[in-house]
Amino acid sequence: MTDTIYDVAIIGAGPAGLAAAEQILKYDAQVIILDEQSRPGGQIMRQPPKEFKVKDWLRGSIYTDTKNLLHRVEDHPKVNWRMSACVSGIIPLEENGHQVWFQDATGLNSLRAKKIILCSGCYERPLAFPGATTPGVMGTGAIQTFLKSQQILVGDRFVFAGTHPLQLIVAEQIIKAGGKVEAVAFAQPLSSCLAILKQPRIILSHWRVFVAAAKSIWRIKLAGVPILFGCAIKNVNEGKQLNTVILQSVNTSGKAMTNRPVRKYKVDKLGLCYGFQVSSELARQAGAKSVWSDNRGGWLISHSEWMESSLAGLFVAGELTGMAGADASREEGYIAGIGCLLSLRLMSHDVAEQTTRQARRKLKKHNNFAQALAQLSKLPVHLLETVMTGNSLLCRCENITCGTVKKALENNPHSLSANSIKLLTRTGMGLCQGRLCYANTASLIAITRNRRIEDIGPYHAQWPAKPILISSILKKRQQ
Amino acid sequence: MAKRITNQITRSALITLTLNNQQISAFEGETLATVILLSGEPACKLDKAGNPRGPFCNMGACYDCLVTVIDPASPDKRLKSRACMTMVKAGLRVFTTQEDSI
Repeated sequence: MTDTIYDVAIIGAGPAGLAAAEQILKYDAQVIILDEQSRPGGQIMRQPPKEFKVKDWLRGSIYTDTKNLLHRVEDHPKVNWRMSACVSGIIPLEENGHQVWFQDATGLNSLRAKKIILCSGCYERPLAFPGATTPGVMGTGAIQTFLKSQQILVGDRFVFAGTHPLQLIVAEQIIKAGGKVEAVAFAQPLSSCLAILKQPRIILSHWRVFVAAAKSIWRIKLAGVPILFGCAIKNVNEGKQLNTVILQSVNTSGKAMTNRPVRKYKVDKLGLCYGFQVSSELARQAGAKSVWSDNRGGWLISHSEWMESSLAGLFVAGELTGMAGADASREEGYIAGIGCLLSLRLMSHDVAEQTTRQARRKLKKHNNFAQALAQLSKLPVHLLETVMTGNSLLCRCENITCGTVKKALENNPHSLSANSIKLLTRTGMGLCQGRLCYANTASLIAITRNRRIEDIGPYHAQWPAKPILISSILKKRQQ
Repeated sequence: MAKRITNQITRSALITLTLNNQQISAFEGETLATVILLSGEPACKLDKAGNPRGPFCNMGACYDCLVTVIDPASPDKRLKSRACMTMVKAGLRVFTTQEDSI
């Protein structure tokens, strides 16, 4: 069994991966880009199928730079692409470099690369509440990617509920596409959202984002859609399809205000928008160090000034270093690309320093903005206790309720770590491998035990980082 | 119910596949999640308690949209596949909410 050896394998073809690739391609280095989607762009630029022609795809100045980058790299003749490839593990090799395992239509495969740049992005954080798994309850980002890529409107009538302003952008896109939006509900009070306007430096550096948000709000209002504050999900109907969404009033700390009437909506789609978790499983599986961040997306991968993780030769860029959006990811990818060239001795330290000066300046501004956005969209402190009632499904894959986990905590007073709760209850052992339940499980333990999530730890990340077919493992063995 | 946006979009060739033994048409490049949502019955699999699940994340993370597919090239093989990550294909047989669908 011989693996092809590349100079650099980039995992994830979003803004970070594409920006890294572009820098490395300027030099005589063999680059391969792997991504689980069929076309590059990442979630921010989920492209329509090649067979479609979409006029004015992703209009708006906030997309311009990232779209240009996508087109430059997608058409670059020197890139080796491995699309529709789901990476299941990264194994550091003793001699030189890393082995990357991935599953695609042909089965389980592997390749070798001297350096890895991991740009695995993030996913949406769902909340647990009664009815949360009824078909029709979706991530707001999912509703948006169906629109961006497949060009379908997933329902007739929508409610959005969350804390992140992404729901304003998506609500507006739904209205424009002909959907009816009944309400956009923020759990936090209006004052927490407006606090960002007290930071003039951020408004100046990111005025395009503020203009885009203001336009969305204006168009939502024009369509007569209420934007609610201090209003969170309570429950939805169970059964074959969503038809009823109930929202509840919550105070500034996220506690239910039971003296206020609930709001009931007859809709077929609910978009949840309670923030994101970084996709750091692969990096952690490989052995890279991580550090907890409450409001920047969970277990973030630590890195050097050249974006190299604690594991030599494994570089990281984009959301998995802390949620900061496409613009920041692009700059980080750029720096990681240069860092990789430096470590391959294809570029001198002086040139590398000089080449990244501007990117570092821009990155700092984007990170300041990301910090303010994280502050704005963080969950009110008691919201999870209000929403995650005993009968809510905490682990969606294994059908384990919040009540079951609370009981396990009561019966095992010394269990503290997420891993021990996983072993006791099977939370996080299903097909999503804890991606969807980790943040809620860890928060539930933290609340019950009155400890910090740093003390609770992540779920152990191991190979394969995504489910693979046993038949493809057997096939690989026979080769 | 889901619908295709038609304004300023040119789609590809239509192909035929089956969804729960019913013949349906879809455009090349569409995903199984799309055709399932368009069918008006968004449920893809049954969960461990026997309750229906539909597409949730549309990015291959949640596994709620797992369906059973039979490829015409290997008609004896039933494969579990994430509907959001699988493209339609002529002659593909797709089954949702079957009892064995996990």
